[in-house]
Amino acid sequence: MENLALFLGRLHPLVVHLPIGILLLLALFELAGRWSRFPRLGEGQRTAVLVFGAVAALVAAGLGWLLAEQGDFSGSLLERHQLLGFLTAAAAVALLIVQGLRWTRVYAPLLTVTVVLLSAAGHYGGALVHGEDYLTSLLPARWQAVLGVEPAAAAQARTLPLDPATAQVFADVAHPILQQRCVSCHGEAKTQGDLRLDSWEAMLLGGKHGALFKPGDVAGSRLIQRLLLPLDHEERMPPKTKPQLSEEELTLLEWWVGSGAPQLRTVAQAAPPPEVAEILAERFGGSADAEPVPDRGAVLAQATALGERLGIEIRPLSAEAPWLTVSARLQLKQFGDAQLAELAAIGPAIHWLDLGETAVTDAGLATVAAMRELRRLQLDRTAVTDAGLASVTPLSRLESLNLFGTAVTDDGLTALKALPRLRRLHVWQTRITPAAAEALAKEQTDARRIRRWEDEIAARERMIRAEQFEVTTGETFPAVKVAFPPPGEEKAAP
Amino acid sequence: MSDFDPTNLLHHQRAWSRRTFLGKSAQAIGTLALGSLLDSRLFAAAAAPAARWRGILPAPHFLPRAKRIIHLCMAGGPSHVDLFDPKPELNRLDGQPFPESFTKGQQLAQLQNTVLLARGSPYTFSRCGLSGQIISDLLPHTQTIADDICIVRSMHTEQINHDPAHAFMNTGSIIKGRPSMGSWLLYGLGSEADNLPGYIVLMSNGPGADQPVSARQWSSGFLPSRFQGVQFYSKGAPVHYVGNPDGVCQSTQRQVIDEIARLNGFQEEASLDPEIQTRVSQYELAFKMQTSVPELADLSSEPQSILDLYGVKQPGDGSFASNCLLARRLIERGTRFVQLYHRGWDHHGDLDPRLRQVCRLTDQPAAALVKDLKQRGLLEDTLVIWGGEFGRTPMGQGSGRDHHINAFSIWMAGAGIRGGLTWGSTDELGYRFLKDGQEMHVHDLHATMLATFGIDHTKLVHRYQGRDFRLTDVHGRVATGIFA
Repeated sequence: MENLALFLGRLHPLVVHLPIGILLLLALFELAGRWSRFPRLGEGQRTAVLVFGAVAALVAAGLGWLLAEQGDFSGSLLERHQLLGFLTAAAAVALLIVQGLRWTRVYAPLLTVTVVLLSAAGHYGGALVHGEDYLTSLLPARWQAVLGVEPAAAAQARTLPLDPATAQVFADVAHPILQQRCVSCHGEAKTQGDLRLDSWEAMLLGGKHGALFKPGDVAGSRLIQRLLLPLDHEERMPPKTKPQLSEEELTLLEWWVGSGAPQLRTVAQAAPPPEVAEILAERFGGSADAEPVPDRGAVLAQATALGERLGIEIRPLSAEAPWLTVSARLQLKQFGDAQLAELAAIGPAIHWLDLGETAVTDAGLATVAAMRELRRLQLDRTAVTDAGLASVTPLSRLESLNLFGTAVTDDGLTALKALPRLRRLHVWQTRITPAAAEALAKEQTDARRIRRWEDEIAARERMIRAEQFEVTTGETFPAVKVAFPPPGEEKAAP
Repeated sequence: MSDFDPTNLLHHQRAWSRRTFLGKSAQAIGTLALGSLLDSRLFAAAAAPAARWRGILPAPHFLPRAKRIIHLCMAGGPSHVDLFDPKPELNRLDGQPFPESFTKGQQLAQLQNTVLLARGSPYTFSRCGLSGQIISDLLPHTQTIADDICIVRSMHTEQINHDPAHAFMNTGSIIKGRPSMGSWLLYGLGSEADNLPGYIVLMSNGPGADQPVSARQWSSGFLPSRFQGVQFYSKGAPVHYVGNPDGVCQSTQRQVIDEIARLNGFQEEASLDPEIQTRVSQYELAFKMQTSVPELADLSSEPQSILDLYGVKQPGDGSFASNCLLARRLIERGTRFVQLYHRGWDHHGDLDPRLRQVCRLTDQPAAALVKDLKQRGLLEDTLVIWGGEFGRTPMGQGSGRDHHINAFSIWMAGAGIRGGLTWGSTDELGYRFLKDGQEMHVHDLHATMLATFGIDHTKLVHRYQGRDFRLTDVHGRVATGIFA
């Protein structure tokens, strides 16, 4: 019986379209009938259509009530939708009675009221399923202003740039992420699973599965746990069909939960570890990263002229953004520090820079230091030494560095530790020892991320093994004691 | 004339009065429509021979990963079931009739209307590298780069004979007159080098390499002929007669070239034929190659350790090893597309000795190329593709195997391709690719190859005879899953 009610309830989203269609069609016919050339509805047809419409509206409202009883949805949005749905059904029945009594004067106004109620109920129903901002988020900014919708970008811009001394970990960092990704289903308007994430107090209450946080256990805290489940897992949040949290957002949330999920603590007080600090700088504009994106047209005009004058290859990397790839390699030793200095004009737009086999020296790399957007830098077979690598350290976005065939030594590697994004380093035929390179690679690897996957794989393996074959000998129940790490610290690597 | 000047073209169009038109109609029919038909940027290329062609695309459609490509074309059709796609079930059926359910009603090359017997692979396979990719023990050096290459097992093509299959692999069509993929790339992106051709073909010699490969495989088709592949001699000097004859110095040569260019300019003024500009630009390129080619071919600057890595016995001996080394030198010098053909994979008979032989000749150089590119940091933006025009049947043909188009294996490396990944799969007998979302038709390979250069394969088009053409015709799906 319970299951039948569940089943019927879930038919609501399907059935609800019947009364919408029937009642709107009736209204359309009545409207068109005022135009002399359109056939008017006969009394019998009108009554028949109204019978269908009223019955469909009653059934839909009933099924909707069953669905609401299941408790997946709650919140003010649901209440509004429910009320309007019942009113619509009532209005449809009233309309049928009015028609039966031939109260022709009441008929037209009541039909209008029914259509208005119907539209409103439908709108809130849609908002309940897709989220409140489903439609409005796509409107042009001007219309959003008219409708009183707060554009997402503007909401974020208010917090920029973020000052560590005053910015709140929860209010300015963690909460905006939850607002953006979670609150459309776990908010005041729509509350799924009895869980609200729209305020710190509400989060403390937890949901129908219990508390969100487990003190001293970040990965065991339900908030984080659900975010880390495999994408096709039933309990994964956000569900597969919804926009997902980025790796950076996840890290920020983990940091907040790991620091005890405080309500009032500034970023400075929480002392973000380096990887978090980097993400914070990226998202909220640290001092070094507040530079605006260069203008594409101006950059390209300059780039073309420079490319021709210096005889080097300068190309746009993308059809929309101003980013450039620059290669001076084919100029060989004719390209030196003086020519490199001329690139300063387009420096902020360069993503890839190939200076391999040129006559560039340590002194010239000062120009490169100002190219903050650089992703890839090739310095192979140049006269660059350890001293020059100091110029590379400000390149916080550098992903690939080629030092093959230079005189760089292990000392130079120390400078590279400051590059948070460095993924590929080529040091063949240098004085760098394999041991030092190995150590750097180890240090730069995101062990935390690997461990997260290892844990996940191990857990799944245990689960599958237990499902497939479990043996109980009754001999060994070893007392497994797992010491939780002290609060704020992560589990040590195995 | 460093750039296209639209007023100049208008000048030509206006200058042609009705009388002139009638007078020149015989030669003018084709050129009349030129101003409007021809893409203006293409015309710009033709009108400015001295300026380097920088490609029809003002910018890539999306972020590129690759800047260069080396295609190791294993002409003849390497046997996938013996090299990259082991099939225990096929070994079990060895010598027994091949199940008819697989082959019924299918096109076969030389095995048509014969009794089909399964042929197991006599070779052992190993799991290699951290990734555990499975590679035949016939390719011990390729095994060492297992973590750098992505093996695609689900390749399939439509052409069952060598020449059309090569054409299909190169141009996406068997119809003559279509541009090859190298020509498309040059047309789209141009080349960084202005003293070497942007698209170079090398054909290796050696035992068993006797099957001809037609020069139409690197033709530019309906694109201007400046985009066609240039074949270098692989033995001796890559280009003959690059030295000046006795008594001629470079400055004299320069004057000759300039004078010829001026004379050609008159004819170009009169006829507006872009092929004249192609000729002018080729003279200019040839002049520059008088210095660039000897430098390129001088392998004495390569240390012995590098020669040993590739297995080069005698530099410039025309071996695949020597050509692989040359390929690396070419892309270092800004060439966009290098295609190395190694013939001798067509093993209709004597599979065992001949497969061993050709593996011995090609395994080490191909693996060395990937390693050498990697240690120089070039693998980051160089795409390497190894593969034939089709595969070989899991059915035996005497002591060999026949042509097979329903499944074959290639590998790709570099340019952001995920190393250590095996992409796609075949049925239990290696007869047909499986439709698991990872199937790779030749069109899909082309689309994926263009995508590594940031090119949307549906947007690199050329209008010819009233129709927009592209490398992938109306097909092609980018295998996004193979990118790291």
